[in-house]
Amino acid sequence: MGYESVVAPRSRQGRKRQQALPEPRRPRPALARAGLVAAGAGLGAVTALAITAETGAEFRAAGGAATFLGSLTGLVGTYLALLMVLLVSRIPAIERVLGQDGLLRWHRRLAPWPISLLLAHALFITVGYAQAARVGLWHQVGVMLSSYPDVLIATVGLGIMAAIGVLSLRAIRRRLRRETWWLIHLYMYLALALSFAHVLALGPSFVGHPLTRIVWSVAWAGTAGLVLCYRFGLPVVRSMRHRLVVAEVRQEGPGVVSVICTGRNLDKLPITGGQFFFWRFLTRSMWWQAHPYTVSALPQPPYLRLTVKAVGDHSAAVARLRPGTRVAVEGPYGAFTKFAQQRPQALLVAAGIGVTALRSLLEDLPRNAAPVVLLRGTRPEDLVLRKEVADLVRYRRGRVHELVGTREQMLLDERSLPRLVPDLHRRDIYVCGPEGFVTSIVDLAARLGVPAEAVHHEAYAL
Amino acid sequence: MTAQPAPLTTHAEPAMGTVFSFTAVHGDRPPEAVRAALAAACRVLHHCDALFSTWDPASPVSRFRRGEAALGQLPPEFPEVLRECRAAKEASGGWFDPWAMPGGFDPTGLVKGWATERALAELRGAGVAGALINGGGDVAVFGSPADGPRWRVGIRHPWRADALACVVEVGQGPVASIAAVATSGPYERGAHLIDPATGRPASRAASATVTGPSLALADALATGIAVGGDEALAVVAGLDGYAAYLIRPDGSETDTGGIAFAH
Amino acid sequence: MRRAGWYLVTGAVAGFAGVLGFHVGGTAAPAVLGPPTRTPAASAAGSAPAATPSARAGGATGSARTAAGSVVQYGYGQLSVTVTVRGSQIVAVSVPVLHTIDQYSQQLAEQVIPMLRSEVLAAHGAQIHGVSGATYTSEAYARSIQSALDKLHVR
Repeated sequence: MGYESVVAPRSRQGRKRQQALPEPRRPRPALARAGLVAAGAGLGAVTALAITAETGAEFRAAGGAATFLGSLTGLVGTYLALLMVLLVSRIPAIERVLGQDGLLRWHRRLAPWPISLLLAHALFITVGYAQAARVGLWHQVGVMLSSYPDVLIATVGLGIMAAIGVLSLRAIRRRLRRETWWLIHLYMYLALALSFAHVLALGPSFVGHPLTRIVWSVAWAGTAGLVLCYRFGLPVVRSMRHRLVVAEVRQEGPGVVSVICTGRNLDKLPITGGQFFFWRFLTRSMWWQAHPYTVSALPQPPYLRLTVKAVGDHSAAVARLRPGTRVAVEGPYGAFTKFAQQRPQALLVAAGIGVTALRSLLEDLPRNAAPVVLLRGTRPEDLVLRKEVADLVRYRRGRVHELVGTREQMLLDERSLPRLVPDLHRRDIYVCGPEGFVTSIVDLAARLGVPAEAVHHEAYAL
Repeated sequence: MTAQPAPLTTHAEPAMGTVFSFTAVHGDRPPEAVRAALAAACRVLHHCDALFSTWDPASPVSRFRRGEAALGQLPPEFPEVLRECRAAKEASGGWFDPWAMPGGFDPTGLVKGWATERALAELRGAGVAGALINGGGDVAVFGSPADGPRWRVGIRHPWRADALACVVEVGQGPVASIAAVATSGPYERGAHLIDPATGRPASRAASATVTGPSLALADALATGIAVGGDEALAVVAGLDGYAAYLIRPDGSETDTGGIAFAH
Repeated sequence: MRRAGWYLVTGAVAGFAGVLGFHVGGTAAPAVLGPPTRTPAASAAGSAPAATPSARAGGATGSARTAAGSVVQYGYGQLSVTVTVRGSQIVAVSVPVLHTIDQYSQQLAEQVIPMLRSEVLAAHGAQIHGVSGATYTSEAYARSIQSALDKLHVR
């Protein structure tokens, strides 16, 4: 198959690999559950902190209510901001269970809350302090910025957060290049760092309370450590360890290329079928971007392959990569793996370039897995890697259905799918492809009564 | 009340929103007389409190502020306090101005000292050898303390806990003359720390102390210096018998000379 | 992850209850506000400063009685003064409860309270006879002391 036939001695296709890869690390759902409980506990704890920051009498005093709201919004908002950072810190244990796309989805959904709460916090605290001191609001603003420790720098941080929030509004974000928006939103790290000091200097729950100070500081330091370690450190270490270099770029179909890389120690790469990397090709024009592409076959040391469809600037540039280009990677990421399987068998559904994830996932299935694979494409040449898929499926005593044609011609609905797959109740559904396609299949599965835990999806945002 | 090697009676009396602490050196007066004098002094304080409490909406000063009572309808202490206020405003060069307060005329900055002096007069009239009244930070003395020739008063440090900025000695030997120490600072929030020019709270000084023969005036002058800083200090320097000591927000100090610092 | 919401809610309840329980059942250490570099001298105060009961042999007979004054709100926060008397003589005051809304009030209160304490005890035998200083916080202090004295039926 694939590159093996080009550079390595021929071996029977679809059969034994040349070198057995070590068993990849299993996701442990218990860890993710524990993480959820911890996240919830943190939220409950900061809420309780806010409530205990003031006594009833203080609450009733001038400015008491506003200050209480300020404490609450500040504590909860900051906590949620830390959670946001943790969600995208790519901690492997969490990422294996929840998947990078799931984590990103939560990150995006959560995003408006910390920013809004922290803006409200600044407002409430200023109003509350002004009322308590019986001075005008603007005077209080001046006092706080000039006399209260670390407030000015925290306000700068808040301004950065607000700016990022505004730029992330869909109407404005649309007008920015994705890379520009991405770089600006990285400043959130700076904004958080700037805001750290004023909490310990001024927060009623912290000043004079050594225990809360320690816990808060440890939480921040821990988050920073995790980010440095897993978001930045681990990818660098891995890239340096495996030294990936582009060996060959070959055409797979219209607009689709496979990039075959060589690397060292690929037998130690902890990748499972269906996972992806963020790929950073170190050329002058591409080094500063990292894009996610699925690994389209399990590593065959020293080779690693990814298959890319040209849909944007970066993916089009991938087709023009020259052999010898060095590659840095972040990953492997993704929960779209064999480990997610609950039921005895699997149905794999792919449209277009989504076949890449299925292709490597198939390699992980045992010989008697008997998978059913549905490949969707508008034209026959859109079904890339179909021969490899067919070989892998045949070896595993499964079936491939190639559904070529328009959407209307090849409609997958409540009647056609059960006809194609009569034993749907015994199968997990893995679906991969463009977002619209994935959504329609997921909805269809729900309508057919397949429980959500048995449906696994990876959508490519185009 | 306790008897001391040099007979001394102390007492603490909450009034006017603060605690007045009394120290009376008996001299040759019997303890009962001293106690009676202390009780009379406390009555004076409560009487002034009833007249001049701006927190009590029914008090004469509150009615005056709302314009519900004319001067003629008010007790005789009122015109006296008004006169003192006018004199204090003039002496402080306008930096102390009870008429420039939000809500109307507010003599609070002066009344506590004025009331203290009247209470002290009760003790002096009773013939004790010396007495000190500390009305929440405003101190008036006469005579000598039990343990030395002059009374020693610590000036609270404006921003260090448990610290004094300095100690001053007040009180002359002769029983007749009263000496006073009054301190004011922006940390003392409230209506009496408003800058008359802007109508907003002022902070040109961290702490201002004034010593002199009249606590009422010293009180007002200290308030004025707390608002006006060095400018107001210069005004007080020109007043006979009064001396001032100023701590600026940056920690530097200055005084007009005439303050007897002790260590 | 199924039932993710349940895990979150369970954790939230646990965290909330834990912090509340810790706060309520915690030590009597008061919530002291103020810049971290300063020693919160005032509020954790114990009993009287050096020069007291033993010197006052006379009228301060009987056992010491202590009462906590009501918690008084003074516009920038609240405090409660605990007063110990022997007979009708105040022998010790402390401020176990002191909360203020903003840091500067706390600075003020921290600085004032010890001075007031020595003032109420009339600085017997000490180098100074009194302290001249701030007054605003004294209101609440005085009212709380008064309520403690009322509880002890002193004057």
